[in-house]
Amino acid sequence: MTNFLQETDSQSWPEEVLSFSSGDVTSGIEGYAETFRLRGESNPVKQARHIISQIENTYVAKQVDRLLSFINMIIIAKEQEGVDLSSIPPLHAYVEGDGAVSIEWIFPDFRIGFNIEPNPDDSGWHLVAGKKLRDKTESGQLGDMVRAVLHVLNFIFLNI
Amino acid sequence: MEYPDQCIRGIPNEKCLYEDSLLEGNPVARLTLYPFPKEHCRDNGWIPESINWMFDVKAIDFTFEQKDVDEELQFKVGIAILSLIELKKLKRKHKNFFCYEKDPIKNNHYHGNLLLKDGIKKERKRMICDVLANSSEIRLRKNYQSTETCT
Repeated sequence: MTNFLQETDSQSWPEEVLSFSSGDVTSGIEGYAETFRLRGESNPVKQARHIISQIENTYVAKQVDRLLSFINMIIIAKEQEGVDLSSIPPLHAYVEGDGAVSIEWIFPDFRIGFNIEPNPDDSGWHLVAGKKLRDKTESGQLGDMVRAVLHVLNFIFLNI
Repeated sequence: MEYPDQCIRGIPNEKCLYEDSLLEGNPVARLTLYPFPKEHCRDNGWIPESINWMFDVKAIDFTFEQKDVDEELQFKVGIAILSLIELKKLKRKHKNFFCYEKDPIKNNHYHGNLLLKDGIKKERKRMICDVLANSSEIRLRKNYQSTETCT
């Protein structure tokens, strides 16, 4: 498999990302997030959400909240489709010294990371896999958070 | 230039590990074990992170016994072992951004550096650091007791 770097603004997305089956996620995402937060958090997201109260930068806090809410929404939607996601580990979240937030997701054969920065142009994501997944590596910016997260979650669902 | 098959990265504190993540019973390194801070950037644009090359088996004990400027154990948690194969793969994939070198210094002939190019995009830097973390085989000190819980 070819390893490549992705820039979400300029990348043409594979079909499996664009046809993600859990409903319209390109509009009204904030509304979805509120609804799902009220109904309870999926276990992977719950721990990481505790970090939000520690984030001083309101923009970063909002983006972290948005990211976690979207991930939560997709996981719950997948579970409602009958997909067993009980093996999905929790996300880890850390506030870094420069005001950024690092969100790290460790699976047996790969790792996913998101960095939310005070400067939005610096925010990004990355994926690192081991030998079983042919040492795949990818990274990109979070300019289009929805598409980036969908791409990452598709990878997770295909490989857990 | 010949390099040994493995190198050692000392683990100074528990923030470099995920305390609640164990894969196959082994602790897991965070990407912060390889921070490559900008402040350390050399004039040639490369940022070094110290390692010890495993020229011989004594390198492991040498690293465990290393002391800091206050004569305290430098790596209180343990060590991470990286294979040269993984470093070569990384260097091949990320030409011009990642490298490694031997750099013997006074009192430490094992010393070397991993090198990351300054000025690369943050997500690419984090990806490279996470490759290193993911490839790390962790060996904790025998008497190490964790005192922190990660989020």
